[in-house]
Amino acid sequence: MDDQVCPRCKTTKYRNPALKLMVNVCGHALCDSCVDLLFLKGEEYFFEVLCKLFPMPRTCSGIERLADWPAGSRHMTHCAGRCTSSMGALIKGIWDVATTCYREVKGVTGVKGYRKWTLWFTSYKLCCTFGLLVREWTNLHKLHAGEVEVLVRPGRELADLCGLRARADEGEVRCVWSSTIMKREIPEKTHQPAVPSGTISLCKNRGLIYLECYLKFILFPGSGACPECRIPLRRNNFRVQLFEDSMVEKEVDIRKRVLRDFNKKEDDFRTLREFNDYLEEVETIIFNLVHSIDVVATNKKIEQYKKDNREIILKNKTKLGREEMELDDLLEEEKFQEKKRKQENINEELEVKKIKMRKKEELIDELMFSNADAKNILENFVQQVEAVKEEKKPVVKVSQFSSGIKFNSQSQNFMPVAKVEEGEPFVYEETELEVDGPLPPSLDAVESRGFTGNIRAESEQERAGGFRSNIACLRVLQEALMGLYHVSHRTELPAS
Amino acid sequence: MFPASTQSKYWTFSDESDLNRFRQETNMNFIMKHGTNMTEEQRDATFLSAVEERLLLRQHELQLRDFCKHFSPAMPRSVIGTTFHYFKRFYAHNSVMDYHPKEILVTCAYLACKVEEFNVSISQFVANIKGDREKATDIILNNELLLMQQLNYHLTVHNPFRPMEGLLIDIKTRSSLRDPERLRPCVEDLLERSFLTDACVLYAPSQIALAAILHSASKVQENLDSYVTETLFGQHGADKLASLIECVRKIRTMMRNVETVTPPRDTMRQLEKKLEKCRNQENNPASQV
Repeated sequence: MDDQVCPRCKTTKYRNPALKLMVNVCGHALCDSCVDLLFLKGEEYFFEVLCKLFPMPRTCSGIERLADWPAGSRHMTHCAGRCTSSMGALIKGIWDVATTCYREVKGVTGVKGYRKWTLWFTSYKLCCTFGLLVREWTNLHKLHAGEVEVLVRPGRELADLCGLRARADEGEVRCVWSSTIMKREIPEKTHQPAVPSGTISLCKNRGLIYLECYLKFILFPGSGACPECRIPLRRNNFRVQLFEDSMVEKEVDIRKRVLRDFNKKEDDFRTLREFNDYLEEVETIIFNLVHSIDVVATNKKIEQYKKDNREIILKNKTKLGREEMELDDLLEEEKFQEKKRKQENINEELEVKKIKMRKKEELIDELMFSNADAKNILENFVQQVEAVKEEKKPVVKVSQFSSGIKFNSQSQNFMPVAKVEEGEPFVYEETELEVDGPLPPSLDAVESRGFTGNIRAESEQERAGGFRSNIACLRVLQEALMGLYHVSHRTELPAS
Repeated sequence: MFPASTQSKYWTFSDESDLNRFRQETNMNFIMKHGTNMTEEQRDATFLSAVEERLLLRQHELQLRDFCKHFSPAMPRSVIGTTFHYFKRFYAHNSVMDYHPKEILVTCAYLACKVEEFNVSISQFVANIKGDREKATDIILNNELLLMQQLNYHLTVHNPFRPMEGLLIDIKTRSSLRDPERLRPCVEDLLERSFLTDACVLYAPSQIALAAILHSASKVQENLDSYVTETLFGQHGADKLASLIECVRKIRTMMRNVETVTPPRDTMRQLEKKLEKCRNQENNPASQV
């Protein structure tokens, strides 16, 4: 695993043992610092500023190019040993630009180990930008106040800007970036646009200028695109890479996601064949997603499936939860057993030790106070020990809990849900009217043959309710005629 | 509708002997059950005979009619009809000695109110009963389930009132009878009387209605025979005509022979006393058993 390398900042595990490779849904790996960087809002603007400040000899803009800069600036690596992260790479990049473009940079000296170093800038802008970088860098790496110290030697420009001509002439202006200042100045997680701003304050009694200049970087959990495939990623979907092959990682992720919805069990199918077909389909979907074949159609398919099988999915989810619960119970019981066995072993050993001690004491007593021959006593003792060893039988272990709980008892409590066999679909059959008398007229005939003339017409309210006099008329006529032919064929009541 | 109803299937007895057989049987069963160690004479002395049961029931039917007539709010006819149906059905399979008719009678009325959607609360209902109303409430509510069970939950009853309306409309429309409405009072009276007979558990409601109309027509010296034979039955029903004429004749006799007068008071009192002695004490709310 030592050859793990972040594809973006090219940092290896060897150079930075704390390197953690992360992967997201697309399966491309990034180190954790690069992930942080991915979600730095205002990043682009930052680099715009940077590029303006440094007319670059190469056509480079944005972070891509920056990351491509020679990673092994030996100076920086030497001076700032932790500059192995992407932020470090940035600083390296700046450093490179600075050394190549601005010869005025006087030099770098390491002060007491790698965490402290001093830079001399002849340009205020350069100083500020570098300050920014350091500030972000310290923020990212959670360095403590005072651990990073940047000394600035102001040139004319800076002096002009700050109105500090008089003092500037005197020599160096020391700039200290410390996290305590940052805390005070940068309101946390404000979602303001990234605007570079700077304040310069003079600390008179110390003769130092605290140069505070920062660009607001807001880490936000929204989106960032994968640098390789430009797929929008979510910050909380990043997780530590477990498998060396990021493709496997991707598949595991997709499988997890797909199986969350495709959670049918064998019991849900009538035949084994249907179940196998279903499994085949699921595998096809996963394969397609992993290899980015026909992604849109596949996703549509999944959506459709979700819509169609919402009930089954929900049901199986709860069922799954139950099974997991059972497993948990099993594990717990196993643990309990294990503990018990250990305790038993310890008890047994203790017992044996005790017996041994007692025997020894007895022997000594015997030897001390008895009149018998010491050799005989010894022999007796040996015999006794032998006898005890033989006598000792394996203790019958109690294999059941006092509470009487048995394994699998949980599972028996859950009645399996009976599968409902779907019967024949309902077919409407018109009911046959049993008349047992002269045939009553039809609903239309009731009116046309004048039956309704002999009955009260419906009121307005009744008509509004849908009742017509012909309906009532038909009913009484039906009742009058039905059963006129009736001859009793009584059925005996079922015995109660 | 009636031909497909439980009324037609289970509760329309083929003839009077069929019905009486049941009554005999229930009477016999009760005596056999409760008089196992008695001699024939003792049994006769203790228990009511089937005939005596009929007498008691007749008297209670009259009471029931009066109860329904004077019920407030006024009971619709269909409720009265259903009540009588329930009462007759119940005692076709149960002995008077097992369940006292005065208890079953009000329960039948209460259940019929519910089934025929005549909405009265139990307190409103017992307001129509003389005597201890709380006790009556208990009796009714306790017996209600028993009654439904004994009716085998066949609660829908087809009464002859709607067929009567239908026939009157048909007569108005298809026959030459002058002013058929004048038959109405007589027909309604006859139908009411029919509930005191066993007609409702022997014949179809339309048959009863037709018989009542024919009977009242003959009373006003009108003849509806041609209407029945030609208009109503026509060619299709010609073969059924004979059986209809026979059953109309029987219904008419029954209606004519209804005894609306209560049997002599002395006999009734004697019978009541006998019943009080031999009734199944397990079903007597006043007993200690």
